[in-house]
This record gives sequence, structure tokens and C-alpha cells, in this order.
Amino acid sequence: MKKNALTIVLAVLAIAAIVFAVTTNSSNQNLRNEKTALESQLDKAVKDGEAAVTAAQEEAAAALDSAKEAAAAELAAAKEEAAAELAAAKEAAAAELAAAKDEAEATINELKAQLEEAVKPAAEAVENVVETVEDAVEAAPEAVEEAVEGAAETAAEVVENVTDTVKETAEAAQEAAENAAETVEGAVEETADAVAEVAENAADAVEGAVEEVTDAVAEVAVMSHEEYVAAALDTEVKVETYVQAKQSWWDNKATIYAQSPDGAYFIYNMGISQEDYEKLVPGTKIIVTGYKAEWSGEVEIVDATYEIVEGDTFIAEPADMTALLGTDELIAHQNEKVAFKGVTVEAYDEKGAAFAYKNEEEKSDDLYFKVSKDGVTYNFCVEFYLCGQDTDVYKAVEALNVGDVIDVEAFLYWYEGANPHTTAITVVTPAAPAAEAAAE
Amino acid sequence: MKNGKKTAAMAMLLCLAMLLCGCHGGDGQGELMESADIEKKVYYSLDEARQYEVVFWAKNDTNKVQTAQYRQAIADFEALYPNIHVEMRLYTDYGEIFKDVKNNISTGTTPNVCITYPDHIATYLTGQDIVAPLDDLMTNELYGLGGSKLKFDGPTREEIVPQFLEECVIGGRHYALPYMRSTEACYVNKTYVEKLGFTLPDQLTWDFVWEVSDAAMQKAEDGTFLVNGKDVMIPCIYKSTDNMMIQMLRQLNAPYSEADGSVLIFNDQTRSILYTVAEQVQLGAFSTFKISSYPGNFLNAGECIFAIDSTAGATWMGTDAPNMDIHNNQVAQFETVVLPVPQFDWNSPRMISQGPSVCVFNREDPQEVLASWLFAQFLLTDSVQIGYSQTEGYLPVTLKAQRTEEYQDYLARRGEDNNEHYYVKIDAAKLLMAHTADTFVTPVFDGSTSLRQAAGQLIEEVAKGVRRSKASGKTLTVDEAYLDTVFRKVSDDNRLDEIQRTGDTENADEEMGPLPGTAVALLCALGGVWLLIGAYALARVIRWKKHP
Repeated sequence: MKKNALTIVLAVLAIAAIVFAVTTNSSNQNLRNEKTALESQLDKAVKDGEAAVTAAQEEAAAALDSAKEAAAAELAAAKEEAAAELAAAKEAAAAELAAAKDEAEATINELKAQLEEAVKPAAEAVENVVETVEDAVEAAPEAVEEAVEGAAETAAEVVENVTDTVKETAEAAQEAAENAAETVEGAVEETADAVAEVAENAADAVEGAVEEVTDAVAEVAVMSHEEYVAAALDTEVKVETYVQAKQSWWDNKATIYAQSPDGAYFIYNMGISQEDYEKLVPGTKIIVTGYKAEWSGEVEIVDATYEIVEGDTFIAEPADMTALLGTDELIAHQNEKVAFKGVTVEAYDEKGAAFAYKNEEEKSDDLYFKVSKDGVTYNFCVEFYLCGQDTDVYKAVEALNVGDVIDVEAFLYWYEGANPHTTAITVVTPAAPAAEAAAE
Repeated sequence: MKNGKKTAAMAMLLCLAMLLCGCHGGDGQGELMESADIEKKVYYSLDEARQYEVVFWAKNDTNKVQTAQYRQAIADFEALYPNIHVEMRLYTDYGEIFKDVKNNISTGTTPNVCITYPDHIATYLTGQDIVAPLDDLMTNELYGLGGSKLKFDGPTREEIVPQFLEECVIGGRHYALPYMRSTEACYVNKTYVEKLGFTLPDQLTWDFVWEVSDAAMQKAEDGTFLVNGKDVMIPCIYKSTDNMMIQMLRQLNAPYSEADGSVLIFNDQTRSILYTVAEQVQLGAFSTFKISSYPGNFLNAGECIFAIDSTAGATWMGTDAPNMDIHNNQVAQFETVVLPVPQFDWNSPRMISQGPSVCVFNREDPQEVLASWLFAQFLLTDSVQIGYSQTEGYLPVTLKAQRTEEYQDYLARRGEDNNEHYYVKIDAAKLLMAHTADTFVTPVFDGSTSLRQAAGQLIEEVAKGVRRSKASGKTLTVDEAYLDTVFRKVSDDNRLDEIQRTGDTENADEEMGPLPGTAVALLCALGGVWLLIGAYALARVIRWKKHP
């Protein structure tokens, strides 16, 4: 009995262990499946999260844009209102001032008339006295003298009276003028206070609008090319210019060649989305704000931001700079679209090659070549990110021979001296074949 | 008897059931077995009847001699292994290789062998089985380092410089072999140092560099600098500001990062470094490559006194440098001395170890991986190591190559000419040989490239800020608040907050947590039953003895 009981217990335990094993194995399988499912869910959640973040970022950007627009509109409206109120206040003040002036003028004219009226009888009296004196002089000298003295005294009294009257009149006029001035001053003061209050309110509104949207934008004004050239290195600059060409976009940055009628700019590694980059076709007008820098002689704008401006376009024609090669004047045309005509291709290295690849194996990088003019040799290059291996100019350089006379178009880039970024080559006179050259 | 047999049978069944319980291993064990299987796949033998194509992506310093070295290495290898054809693609920028490899991972079109950096490998490793682990390949008796079936005289493991090999370990495994090594050096215009009234020591300190640099800023009445009579003098220019920050932090025993991805760079010592940078930039005594240009250009023109750049750039430094970007008529005449980078404390000097390594990418076909491994290993042979190292101030990564008569002769002929034996280049290589034990590398993880970039950007931002304020007629207030804004900007620009810390795998078991209660109960029950069985059996034995 006992043995049977033990057997049964062992059997039960064995069954329980088997069940446990199966259960836990399936649990583990379930756990693995769950894990896989959870990982998928996590991936999905991460992707959803990233999408949500992107969407939120876009939404925030859109909200920021509309908040900016709203703030700008509010700012414009506030400015308009303030301007209108200021104009109205000015007008009112001007009107009051004019009225006060008119009043003062009228008062002065009145006083003048009064003065004239006051002076008139005195003048007549003086005339009569003079006549009497003259008669008396004719009749009796002593009496005349006495009469003259008396008349003189009388005239003096009259003059004094008239002078007093005139003084009083003048004082009255002055007082009237002062009153008028005080009235005007009071009016002006009241108007100024009103204007100040309006301006203050407008300013508060403007300040509030700006604070709500973003930090203040640099207050640098758009400068001419001359001002840009005169600006010190490492100062903030702002220019309005036109895209002429651009290097490849990568990691939200691109380098732009830009030029306006008055000069050119090299905008290095400007932050830009790929979408906006595609909009920067040659001729596009942009306003660029950044810092002026110099790197190995190349003057450029770095850490730049931009604004695309709708409207007119400009594409520069290459300016012939052949005569300036080797002169100190050439650097003044840095970054411009230029042409060098009738230059001769020289050997690039001791092996006599007409050009060199930066990456000879893959031919997927810059090209270097040299040209001479009047016995002086200059270094040129094809910047791969501007003109890649499929472009005409890249192939044209690969086809160059030493001795070719060529015309070159380029952006006048600078690296320890002139180092133009070539954009077009025309072979004017091919080099003589080797046999002919040997015969000569 | 029958019951006894039944009992025994039940007991055995119970044991079997217990075994079933033990068969469901954890996920960790399953993964280890998978990786081990991958490693075990590759090294049975090379099928020499098959043709293999090995795609090799490499980088050169726009140096035709280096290109020629690669071509020669490929030709020599193919002569030994005619069934393995190596197709090379050359880049001029490591960043381009990094970009292309990442782009090609998703399409399974990575190269077979690639010259790369461990930082980059850490990113490749975020994908599954992208880069082949090399430990078992390295130790394989037939095809491993010094293997018996190799057709070339490759180095054994002991013949590779240990520090350089250790730098290729990521997560406890070797994922690369070192290819070339360099460090940074300070190329000094000794003539100007002495002209300023100083004696150039063999061991530069930062205090000395700043003292001389500040003295070099003195001007004559006409506004030119006294030391060189020119309008331009930037006494100290640093090529790689990320190295500058990383090395200074290491020299100060300050935190930078941990292997688990912890970003520790925003600390007080970083701030103190940036205060010094601000001070020196304000004086005009310090600038960087990104702001001004190559230190070598300024050094060679007599417009810089301390040019800090890689030893792999030695052929561009000095009056007689074989490579020069400035016009001959701009080159100044002076004596160039190559010294280790300045230190805060010469009792514990620290300098960065850098230079390319070579990795092998995984393939479904283990034979292809083996062929790739053979070529990667061939790059460590003496002819390749010596030939390539001589193109610049590199050091061969194998003691084997360093100790050859050929290499020793090369070093001994220092200064014989200004090309192959250019003295600055050889002095730069010797510098690393003498200070190999003082070199270090930073932890490698997915995101370490971004962190390195951030380190350099901290210096660039402060330098630019000071220069721009100075140009506007103001003095930038570099204080804690300003540095806080710089820290935030740099962190945001490089997305340092997105670098994920990984768990410590050695303690993974601790993270599993305690056993579930049911498991504990069952184990106790099983144990209890066995105790009962044992007790019962013992009781029976005793009874039998008493009553046989």
C-alpha cells in the first residue's frame, strides 16, 4: 500500500514536473514572442514617436511662423496706430499753435493800432507846437526862446506820455504774447504728453509682441558691397545679393557663390534645408546675415542665415580679368564671376601632366591645373562639389593638353593666392602635336 | 519488486521532467551561441579553387605616394593569392567613408575591408552582424596572426604594439586591426622662441606656450610684430580643437566620457580650459584651423611659433617642407623643432593616439570573410607598414616592422634629404615611438563621434565669440552664464542628449531580478521529494538490515 502510495506520489510529481516544464517552455516561448512583439511595438513606437516629434516640430515651426506673422502684423498695426495718433496729436498741436500764433498776432496788431492811435494826436500836437514855435520865433526872439523852451518841455512831456503809453502798450502786448506763448506751451505740453503716452503704449505693445515671438534679430542694416569690404573681420554683416551658383548640399548646409552688381560674396557652409536649397537657382535674390571671416586669404561670410526675397533677379556676366592676373588689383574682385582669356596650359607636375586629380583612383574629387600668362604661372582648380565629373568643364580639363591656349571662366576664389574655381573652359588654340613641335 | 521497479521508473521520469525544466535557456545564452557560430563559420579553410572579390575602401592624404603604396600592397597580395582579387576605392576624407558605409549598410553593399576609425565602427555595430568580430580569426592556428597556412610573413599577436591593438577593442571584442598610428606634435619655430629671449625646453608646458605666445604679441611703433616684423603673428594655432580639449581634459584627469555612453564633458575643468582659450584669443595669441587656416601655412610663413598638428602632417611643416601650400617667396627661414604636445604636468604626460585602423565586414559566405581577413592581415606585413609609414610621420603598428633593419636604417638617415628622409617627418615618427606608453584613446560607443565634435566646438564657439566681440569694440564677458549658453548650444548642435547609455552586460544577471515564487516553490518541492525518496530508501535499507 505504502509502495503504491509512493509510486502514485512520484507519478503525480513527475506529471507535475512535466506539466511545469511544458508550461514554462511555452511561457518562455510566449515571452520570446512577447519580446519580439514588444520590440516591434517599440520600433513602431519609436517610429511613431519620431514621426510625432517631426510632426510636433513641424507644427511648432508652423505655429512659430504664424505667431511671427501675427506678431509682425500686430507690430505693424501697433506702429500704424501709434503713427496715426502721433500724426493726429502733431496736427492738433500744430493747429493750436497756429491758433495761438494768430491770436498773438491779432493782439499785437491791435496793440500796434492802439499805439498808432495813441501816437497820432501826440504827433499832431507836436506839429502844432512846432508851428506855434516857429511863429513865435518870427514874432519875438525872447518869447520865442521861452516859447521854444516851453514847447520843448511840452513836447518832452508829450513824448514822455506817448513813450509811457507805448511802453504800457508794449508791455500789454508782451503780456499778451506771453499769455499766448504760455497757452501754446501748455497746448504743446499737453499734446506732447498725449503723444508720449501713445508712443509709450505703442512701444509696450511692440516690445510685448517681440518678446512673445522670438529673441531680437540682429539690427544690422543691409550694407553695400563697399561697406562689406570696409567692414572689419569678425563683425556681423548683412548683404542683399543674388545666387550665382552653389556647391552640393549636405547635412543641412551648403556653400553659395553670390554676386550683386556692386560685388561678390562667398557664403561658406550656410545652414539651409534641402527644400530651400532647391529654391536657390541662379539669379535668386537673398538677404544673408552672418559674420565676415578670412581663411587663407579668402574673405567669406560664415555662420550665415538667409532670407529668400521674391522679386528681381540678377546673373552676372564674367568680367575679363586677364589684364589683372599677377597684379595687386586682382584681389579686389575676389569671388566674382571672371574670365581669363588666352592663357596657356602648363605642366602641372614633373611628369608633365596637364592636370591632376585630387583623388586619382576614383576621379571623384577636385581637379588641379596650371595656366600661364606673360611668363607667370597660376593655379586653377575645378571644385568637385561645384562642378562634378559629369559636367562639361570637368571633362574639358581632363581633355587638356600642355600648351593649349584656353579661355577660362571661373569664380575668383582665393587660397593663399588666386585659386579660381573654374566653371567653363574653351580651347582657343590647341597645342601643336608633339611631332610638329619636335620639327620646329 | 514490481513496485520497486515502478518506483524507480517514476523517479527516472521525474528526473527527465526536471531536465525538461532546465532546457529553456535565457535569451542571453541564445545570442552568445549565435555570435560564436558566426565566428566559428569562417576559419575552416580557404577554398583556393574559388575566386573571391574583396572590395577595399581606403583613405589617403591626397598623397600620390600613399596611393602607390596601396596599389603595391594589392599587387603583392594578389601575387600570393591569385584567386583573391582586391578592388580598391580611394577616398580623401574619413567622413566620406563613414557616410558611404552607413548608407550602404541597409542595402548590404558595404565593402569587405575598410580603413576606418573605432568611433565609426561603434556606429556600424548598432546594426546586427555588420562588422566581423576578429578574436577567433586572430587566434586561428591556420589563418590567424602568424598562422601556419599564411602565404606571407605576417606579425604574431605579440608582434603588434599592444596599446595599438587594444585600441581596436569594442565591447570586449576586437573589431579592427590597427593600420597606422600617429599622435599630435607641436612644431616649434625655435628661432623665434630664442629671439623672444626664451630657451626652448624639451618638454613643453602650457604655461610656457602661453608665456611665449603673449610675449610674441609685442608690436613696434609701426604696428608690426617685433618678433617677425610682419603684420601677422598668431603665436599658437591648433589644428584639431577636439583633440585639444580631449587631451587637456585627460592631462588634468578630468572626465570626458565613459564606455557606457555617459557624456561627462560639461564640467569645471572644461570651463577652466575655455577661460584660458578666451584669454589667449582676446590677446590675439591663439587661433584654430577652422578660424584661421592650416597651422603649417602660418608656421612656414614665419607667422606662428607653436603649430600643433598631427605627426601625419609632418611633411607640411618647416622651412624645407616637401609639401607647401604657400608661395616660395612667403616662406620664412627658421629652425623647426618637433616636440610632444604641451602638458600640464610632465610627471604624467598624456597625448592622444590616432590613426587609421582596418575592419572586416561580415558576409553570409564565411569564405568571403576569410579572404577579406587575409587581405586585412596582409596590410600589417613589414613591406606595407614600412612603405606607408614613410609617406608621412606615421609609425608602423607592429614591433616587427619597427625593429627591421630597413626601418631602423630609414630612421638613421634622418635629414639626408628633404623628401623621404625629411628630418621633421622622421622626428615626428620617433616622437610617437618614444611616447607610445603615454598615449591614450577615448571610449568608443555609438555617438562618440558626435561627442568628439562637440569637444572641439566648445573651443571654436568661445574663440569665435571673443573675436567677434573684440571686432565690435567690446569685450565679451566670458563667465559661468556665458559658458552655460555655450554648453547648451554645443549639446543641442551635436544631439548629445540622444546618446543612449548602454547597460553593463557583466551585471546583466543582476538585472534579471529574483526567481518567481512558483519556480521557488517547485524547486523546493522537487528538493523535498528527493529528500523523502532518500529517506524512504534509507529506511528500507535499515529495515532490511534489521530484518534481512
